[in-house]
Amino acid sequence: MNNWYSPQRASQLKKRADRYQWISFAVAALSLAGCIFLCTQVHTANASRLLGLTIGLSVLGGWAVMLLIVFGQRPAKAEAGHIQGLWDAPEEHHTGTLTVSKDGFQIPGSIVVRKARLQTEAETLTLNLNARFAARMPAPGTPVRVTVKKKFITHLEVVE
Amino acid sequence: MKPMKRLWNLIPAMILWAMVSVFLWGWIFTFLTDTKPENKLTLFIDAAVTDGTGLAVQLEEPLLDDTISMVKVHPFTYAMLDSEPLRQSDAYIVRASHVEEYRDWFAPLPESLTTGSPEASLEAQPATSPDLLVLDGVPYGIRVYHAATGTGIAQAFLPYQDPALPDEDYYLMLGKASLHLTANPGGLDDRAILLAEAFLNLP
Repeated sequence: MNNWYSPQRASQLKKRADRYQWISFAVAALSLAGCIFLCTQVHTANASRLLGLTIGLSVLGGWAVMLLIVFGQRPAKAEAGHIQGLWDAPEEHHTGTLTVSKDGFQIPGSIVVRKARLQTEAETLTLNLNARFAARMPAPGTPVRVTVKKKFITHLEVVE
Repeated sequence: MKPMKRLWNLIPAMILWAMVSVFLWGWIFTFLTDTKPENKLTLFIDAAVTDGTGLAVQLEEPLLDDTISMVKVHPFTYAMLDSEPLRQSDAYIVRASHVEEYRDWFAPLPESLTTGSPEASLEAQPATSPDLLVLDGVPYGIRVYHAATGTGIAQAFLPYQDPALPDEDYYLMLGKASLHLTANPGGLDDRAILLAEAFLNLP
């Protein structure tokens, strides 16, 4: 998990978000150029066929851009921002047993978060976990040592 | 958020984009496929048109030049919301029983279209010869569909018969408000006559 909260990882994600953004621009520009080209080819005999093609190209191009933004650019940008936001925050270390909730919620404009309860010897802490890492958590009840920044678990290791 | 949930949330935006695309490009194409009345020839038909595009393409062949960039063929129902394009049409094909209703829109036929066409009783004429429709002694129309024989001009594009209406003759008329008839006020040229001739020359 350490890899996921490093400046390198944030930089990688930022580059990925930029790449998706450029691809989206390219797809949008190509669709528009294609539509304009089809418009220049219109005459009486092919008008209805070209109208269908132009609408099809415009719709598919728009959908492709939406999918690239929603599934590519936004998640990468949100995660990069999340990592950068935590990086300079002070760290805390705790040891205990961790239980992660099943349901997550999305921080608006940012990542999806799952609530986690860490039972230490002295207290029960309610922490946040990037939902992306939930599947990598050890079985509930396994003793773990966690690093926490702004209540987010940024590092976890199983205590042998 | 799971990918399927994200995709589900995106569907309204995708539908909205599809609707915007249809509206936007449809609107743009109405401009691309139309032009000023002085640069087009229009034929309105008082019947269902099975292949208006095909008919327009056939008519464009001899008619397109530096001035005329397109021929438009529409059924009367096309002008349902705005009767102005219908009134300004260069030529019409009208069923016999509707001639009186739209009579004010028709111009008398010029001599070049009536020459050699005997002003005779319509019933006796075969559909392939140009029969004239004479109103108050003035020729206004040329028969293009003969109901008795079921034959007419350009039947590949116009079925002429309407199951909801009795079978009747159809006439080709010229428009009184056409800009392409010099006999009309403001008429620029006589291309409406060329349009009529091009139609009459169709198989």
